[in-house]
Amino acid sequence: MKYNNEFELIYQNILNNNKEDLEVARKYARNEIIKNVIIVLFFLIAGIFIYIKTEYNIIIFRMYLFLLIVIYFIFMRYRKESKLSIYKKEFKKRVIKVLVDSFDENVEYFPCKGIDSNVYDNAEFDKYHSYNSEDLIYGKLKNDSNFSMAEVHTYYKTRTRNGEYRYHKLFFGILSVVTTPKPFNAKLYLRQNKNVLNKTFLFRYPLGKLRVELDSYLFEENFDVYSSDKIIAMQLLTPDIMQLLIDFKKKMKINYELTIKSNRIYIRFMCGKMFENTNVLKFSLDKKTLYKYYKMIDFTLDLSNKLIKLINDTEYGV
Amino acid sequence: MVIEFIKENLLLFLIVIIILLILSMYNYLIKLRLRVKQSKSVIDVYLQQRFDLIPNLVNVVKGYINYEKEVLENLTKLRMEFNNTKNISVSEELNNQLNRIIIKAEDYPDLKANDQFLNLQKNLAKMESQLQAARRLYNNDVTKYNTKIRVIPFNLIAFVCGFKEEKLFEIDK
Repeated sequence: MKYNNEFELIYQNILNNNKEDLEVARKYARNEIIKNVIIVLFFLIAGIFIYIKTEYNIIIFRMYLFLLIVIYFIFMRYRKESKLSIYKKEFKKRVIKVLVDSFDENVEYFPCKGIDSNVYDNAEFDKYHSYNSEDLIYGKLKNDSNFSMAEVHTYYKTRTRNGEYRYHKLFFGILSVVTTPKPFNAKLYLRQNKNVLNKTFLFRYPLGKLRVELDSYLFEENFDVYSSDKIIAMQLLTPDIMQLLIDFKKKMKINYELTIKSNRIYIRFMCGKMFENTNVLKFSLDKKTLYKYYKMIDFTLDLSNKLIKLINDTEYGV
Repeated sequence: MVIEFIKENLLLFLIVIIILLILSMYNYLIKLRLRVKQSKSVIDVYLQQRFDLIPNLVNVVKGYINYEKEVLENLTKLRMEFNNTKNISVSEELNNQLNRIIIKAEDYPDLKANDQFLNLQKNLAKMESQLQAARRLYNNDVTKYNTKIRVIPFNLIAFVCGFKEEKLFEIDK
């Protein structure tokens, strides 16, 4: 994969300043996980050994299990912060923050905050039963728009035969929200092509009657467009914008959806958990992963700027 | 009981199915043709809105561009002709004249700074954008309709019922 010059500079900057410290933290986390796995295996083998040696005495085995549970609770009560948790915090502080700062100094990173569920609901992506958000990036851009981006998880629930509720993953990814300086007097929805066999299809907002067919076969293959005003949809989805949308999807292989309503542009990327490098077996500053983060922020800002300009031109004149 | 009835009257059942299919295909072609007409009328509406700004433009500009009096008079005549005939070539000529005047205004700094003129320019640009969008929609609808009346089995219905191809909107070379 080719990386642009700007990203190369950012990556080198992060690498030069943070590689050693992050690698130390990563190795501690990795060693801790290996140690925990060895301990678990030891107790498991010990349990099997005791069970066989006591001639399959179930009472002694149960006593052994009870002892293990007690040891586990004592351990959980008095343990210090895990090395993995420390590593994740270091990663966010050193890498994500630097990446975000490279776009705009006014944009800040808040690892423990998220985007409010009301904001997600306004975008009409899907109807969920449970919502969670964290790793908020927020700030005011040079063009006076407010920009926020955070990891979002939504779940739907099903009921088992016993009457218990089970939660299932509906959406795991990134949500970006950019406010436009002037309000937009229509609604525009860009969705991935319908897949009625996918369970999550049932939780999508019904938009069928607002369907708009665009004059690009390639675009129609990748996206379904819905709008309350066909003319405005055509004005915003110019050939340049359509090409930008298709290129990002093909190059980065990330599915995404877009909503433009009142004075906000919402983009959600179906990319799973992003702002956490939990794979301690991999080099912490994996270039490909970082490039994905970089491109998502870059794409959001680039697309929003272009759409804001078009909204101003179409709604309010040049 | 239903299955037995169908087995006994299989031929009748098949004829009914075929008639229903033909009717639904015919209705679908009618819908597509009406959509094309609707898209065309949207273009006419935007064109009319654009040309309705001409009297305001002439009033603003004539104070500044005295020696171009003939051009302005010609513009007004063309607009009246378009209102009477709704001729496409007249609308294209009118569009061209309008664009020429806007470009000509670049040579008159006083006119460029005039608030009324700036407002008109803004509105004209906005309408041009809407017109482009309307034309894209129209071409989209026409392509869909023309494709449908050529493919089997719709082409049979189209041939029998007299559905003709529509012309795409094209810029004159």
